[in-house]
Amino acid sequence: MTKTVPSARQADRDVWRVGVLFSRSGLMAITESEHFFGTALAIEEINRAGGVLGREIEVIAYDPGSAPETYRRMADRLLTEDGASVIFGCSTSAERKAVLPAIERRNGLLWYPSLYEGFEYSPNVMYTGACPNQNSFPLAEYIVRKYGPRVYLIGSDYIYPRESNRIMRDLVESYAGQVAGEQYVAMKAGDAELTRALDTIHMRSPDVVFSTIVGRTAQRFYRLYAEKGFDPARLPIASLTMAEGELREIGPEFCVGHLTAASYFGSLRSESNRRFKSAFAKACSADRPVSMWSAGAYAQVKLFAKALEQAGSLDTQRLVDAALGLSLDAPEGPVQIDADNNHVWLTPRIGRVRRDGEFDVVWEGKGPIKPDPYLSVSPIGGRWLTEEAATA
Amino acid sequence: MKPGVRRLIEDLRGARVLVIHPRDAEGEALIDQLKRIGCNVRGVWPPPPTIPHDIDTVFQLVESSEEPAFPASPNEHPLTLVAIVDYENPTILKRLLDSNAHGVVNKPIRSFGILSSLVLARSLRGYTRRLEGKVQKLEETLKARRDVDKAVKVLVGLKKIGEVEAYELIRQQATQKRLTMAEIAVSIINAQEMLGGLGVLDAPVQTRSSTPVEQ
Repeated sequence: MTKTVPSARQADRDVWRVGVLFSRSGLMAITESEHFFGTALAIEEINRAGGVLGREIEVIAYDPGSAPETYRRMADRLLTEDGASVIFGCSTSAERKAVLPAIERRNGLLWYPSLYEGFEYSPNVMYTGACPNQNSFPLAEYIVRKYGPRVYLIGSDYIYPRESNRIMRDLVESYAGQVAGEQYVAMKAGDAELTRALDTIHMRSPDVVFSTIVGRTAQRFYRLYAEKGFDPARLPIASLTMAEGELREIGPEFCVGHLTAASYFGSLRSESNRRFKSAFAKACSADRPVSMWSAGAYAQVKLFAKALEQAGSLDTQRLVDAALGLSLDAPEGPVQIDADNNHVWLTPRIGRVRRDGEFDVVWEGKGPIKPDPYLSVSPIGGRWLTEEAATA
Repeated sequence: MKPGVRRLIEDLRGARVLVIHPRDAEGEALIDQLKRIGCNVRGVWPPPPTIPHDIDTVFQLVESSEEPAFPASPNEHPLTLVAIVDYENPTILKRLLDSNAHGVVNKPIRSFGILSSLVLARSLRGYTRRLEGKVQKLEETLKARRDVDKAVKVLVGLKKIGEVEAYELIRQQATQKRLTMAEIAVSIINAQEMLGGLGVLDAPVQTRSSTPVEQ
């Protein structure tokens, strides 16, 4: 592969230059701003401690405004004009797919912090968020056994919800549950469309709603859910993305009882999380909540720094070689980059929203589990909950 | 006709794949990606004379030379073949067609596209196999029908009975002897030809039916 990043120019200066592409505006503004803060915090900490191998990390950040086409253009600019071969960025699958051709053609390295639907591997991407075997799998068993067999699937109309729902349908059926309905709304669905969807849900009377609606639309959906009189304690929305920051926007009092499956919650009581939270509070404003979005973005920068320290170079191949197998005491606990597939070992957890906008962890895996993006070793219908946990 | 996508994916876990490609970075990349997908995979180069019996899917580099040819697959052992091509000139395209491949991946090999090619190739192979099975069964049915027609005519000539009655006789024999009607029919035809040839039957009948087979 040809190397087009002008590395000589970069070596003249005593910095490691990296690109950051998270949307501070548009549909994904809330979650991606949290990605951004987590990234910025980690880089600040690294620089304050003297950088990597004596050189500071220099950031070039753009705001792609939640538009995949803009992501592609800005990734190209970072890789060529700005001479940054390493990019931390993207949240949705559409954004990641838009950046992929650029990053592969220029042989850069994208660090992607978000959970996604799996079935992908690029030698030019480090996938540090959860794939379905690390969130959907235990969630499916939990909702069917705790809330009942009838699961209603609703999502924004793009690839992540459709594939997530395909997997969820198989999982639910494997636990003797059934899909009470499957529906997609526009990415930027308005209140009228969401209200119609809620009427349909009311009509089908499921036991639980699995929602893969994302961004601001998800916030409106949760709010309307409360206004329509649905009771989350009896009929919760289960999600893979709803986190503390968005709950704050919706109003946590409207969300008590909803469920999210993720490997990180701000309420985790580990030493590594206490460190992360206090650093985050100091750097950003104290009342900005931490979430899987900021914690994941933070952890992947720390993993990158470790890899860079070993590789001593931003050359993609050398960085990836150094990164594979690396482990870290992340805010969520121990994580490790898988040696085979560029994804990360994470601990699956299920959280239930409480009144203060934090999550009670109602179920937690025994430790980090192997990322299985192609679902090649994860049996559909495996047992995650012990009998006590399922009946408690 | 098309199996569910979940079954296709699950089916890949049991796939036993042989990669016939030089042992270089691209060959390694292909093998690694097939492992990620969940296949049981191994590599070999140069092309072996035969494919081991436990293999069901082969990825093979299409070369411009006529030799070595594509390895013969073991008898009655249908393989899925995905061709790997690095040129698209007519020489290679001809080799590609000759290979009867079910799918193709292009060089330079990227991780994207391998899963799609594999799934499509295996699905096509399965579909072709089902079609082949159907054709074979239809051919057998057709032949059986021709034989029964012929045997009916033999009996009609020998026993001076109607076609319906002759057909019923064959059916009864088949039930009694626990054979198919086609097998009974063949026995009757053979017996008639043999006895007729020995002059045992005084009035040999015309057995070469000139009426076209109804279908």
